[in-house]
Amino acid sequence: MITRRNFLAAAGLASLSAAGLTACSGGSAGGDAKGAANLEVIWWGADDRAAITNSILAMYGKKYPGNTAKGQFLPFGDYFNKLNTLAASNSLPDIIQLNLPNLAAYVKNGLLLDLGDVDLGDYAKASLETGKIDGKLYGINFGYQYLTVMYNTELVTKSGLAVPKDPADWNAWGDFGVELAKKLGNGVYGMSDNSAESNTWASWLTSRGKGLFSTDGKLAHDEGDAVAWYQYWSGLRDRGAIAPGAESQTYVSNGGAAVDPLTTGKSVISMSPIVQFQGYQKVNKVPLGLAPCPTGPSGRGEVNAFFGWGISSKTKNPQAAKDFLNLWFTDPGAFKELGLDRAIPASKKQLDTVSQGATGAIKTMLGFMDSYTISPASQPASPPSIGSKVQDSLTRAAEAVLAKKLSPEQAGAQYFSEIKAAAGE
Amino acid sequence: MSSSLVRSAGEQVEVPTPGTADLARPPEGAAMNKKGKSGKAGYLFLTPWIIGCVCLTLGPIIASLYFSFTDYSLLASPHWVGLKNYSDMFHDKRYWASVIVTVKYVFIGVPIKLGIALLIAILLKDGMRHMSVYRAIYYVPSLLGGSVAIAILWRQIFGDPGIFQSFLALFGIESQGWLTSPATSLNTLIVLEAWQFGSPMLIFLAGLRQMPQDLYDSAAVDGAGPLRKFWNVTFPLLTPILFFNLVLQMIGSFQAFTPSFIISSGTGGPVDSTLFYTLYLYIQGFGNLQMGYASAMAWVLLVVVGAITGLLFFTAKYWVFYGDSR
Repeated sequence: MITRRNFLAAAGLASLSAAGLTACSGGSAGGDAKGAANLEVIWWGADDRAAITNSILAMYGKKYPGNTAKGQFLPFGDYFNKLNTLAASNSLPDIIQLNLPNLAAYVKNGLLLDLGDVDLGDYAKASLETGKIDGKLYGINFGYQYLTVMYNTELVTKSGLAVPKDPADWNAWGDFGVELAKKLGNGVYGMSDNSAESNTWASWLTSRGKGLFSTDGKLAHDEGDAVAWYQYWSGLRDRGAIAPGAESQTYVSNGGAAVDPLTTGKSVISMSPIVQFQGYQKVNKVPLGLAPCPTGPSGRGEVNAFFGWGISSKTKNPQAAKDFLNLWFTDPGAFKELGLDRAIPASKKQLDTVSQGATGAIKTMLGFMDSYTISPASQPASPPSIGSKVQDSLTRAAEAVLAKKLSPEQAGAQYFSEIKAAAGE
Repeated sequence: MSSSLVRSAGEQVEVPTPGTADLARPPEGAAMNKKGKSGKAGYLFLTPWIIGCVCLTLGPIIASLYFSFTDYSLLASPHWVGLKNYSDMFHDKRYWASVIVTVKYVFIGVPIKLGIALLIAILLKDGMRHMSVYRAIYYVPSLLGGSVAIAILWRQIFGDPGIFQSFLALFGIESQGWLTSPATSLNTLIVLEAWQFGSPMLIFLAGLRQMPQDLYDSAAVDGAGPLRKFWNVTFPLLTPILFFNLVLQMIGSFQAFTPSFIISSGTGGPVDSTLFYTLYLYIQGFGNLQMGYASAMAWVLLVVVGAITGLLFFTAKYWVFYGDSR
């Protein structure tokens, strides 16, 4: 028989665990014994990247006998939650992979080491700019990252149309998408819906002479840019260039090669940072082609966003960690392993090593890069309070437009008001 | 995460059955006399649990109360901001979106789940062949329910393209992704919740099988049919168990996290349609580095769940029939 009190305790305890939700746990940092350094390295990515990275960690162990480097990796979606928790519990690994939205927050909280004295061989100085905060180098960029247009070569041939000649602006690519959809029909659309893709958004802004943020951490775009952005994609949807709401939802919400309509054969064109080309080619059955990113009133929207290594300021082995970065960015053996996994190399020697005997996707990428000179502008770091909010707000507003819950104008306003609040402006 | 904690806590609670609790309870005087001696040994045996409770549960709970009044960001040390986090919630549109999603989930999901649980329990009440097999089968979803694997399975079934979509297509029914459309995504999660009716079902079943037969006999003598017996005998005697299930399930549903976290890839999308309160709390704390705000959210949840539980207890005297009441 239940009396009024005999389960109050159980119910009370159960509800109390709500307050315990924000509890977190710690890990352990690498230690050293008698001068030997045991480095810990953490990154996000898939199994392929882990295999590449682990073999370079093994190289480090061979080059510096007695030292070891041990790696751990997570999917991108879980990575920063884990890393932030490690940082909070003072147990960051020695070497950590970071990206632009999070770099400034780590620097401002004193979590990263100044890397000004790391020997980087012939690494191009231009690519280092994006890893600098207040003039000091806190992150070493893996190399160049910039947006490209990828297309299904077989479907383009089938349509009988020609890919727009570089330089082609956003409207030229949009018109091409409309034509493709008309010629191909049968539920095949011209373009994938990139209205929630933050790299494409940054490139769009750059081509308009704007940017996400300025070097002093202020917003470098306005509501009008965001409204124009959502209008661009809505216009293409209305003209039949991209799939209507429901069909685009999965890709808009989640992004990535696996669910991109390009991969599923439902679209001919998609836009993505060039480093993702290998991943796209791996899941696409047909050969993909590459074209430079669209241009705008201020030229090509090439922008190099930080994605690279940083070293924890709490590391017990700063020199060993710097030696590891030196190996990563200058060792011919490491160049061979790395290929084009994380970036287009900023070192001529590295690029030459990768070019030797290149086949498949790497050959396509190298051929594309030969076709014109790249000079991406460096994307300034986001203010510390931003984190993943650009991507979050961009996605939610894009989802709302797709679901017809917001007009492009309302979506632009919602995105901008959220980013403005997050940036504290 | 939290939901599985609660669920397992609920399952460990001794199943109350009408008519047995009074017999099991020792006379109060005897317990008092022995208290002095057995007390110390009891606490000694409890020590591991007490240490765990203080360090791993009470400690973080108290810390979170402090953090809720600070601007703690995980990366930097906290600064006192008073009630700012609490007042910010009133102006945060996403916060209210998460409240609405959670309230819908609880107030639609829990009644459906309990309704199904009671119905199946009634069907299983009278002994039938292979009864234990049926009971086990119905209970399986509850065992798996809080797990990540089942949420992933759900995503495969109701995603876009998904198994359910292909199944409907066999009959010529065109449907959108059930989880990728904001109009249907929350309902799909409610179905997932209702599907895990096994645990309240077992508790109902235990209650049903303990019903005193003499009351049914009397009712039969008075000419009561099956419906009348259910409504005038079974249901009143079952209300304490219904109340018990209602409180536990409601608390569990308010804290639901895993289904939305896995199925929406941690975003609560599309268009915040599956943004559970706890998921938004997690996004704010670990994604947006606003641990102070997240802690304040956790405390508001605690107070609200406590208040609703209190309200249920208050209303209980009007509809719950205890065997010991007169």
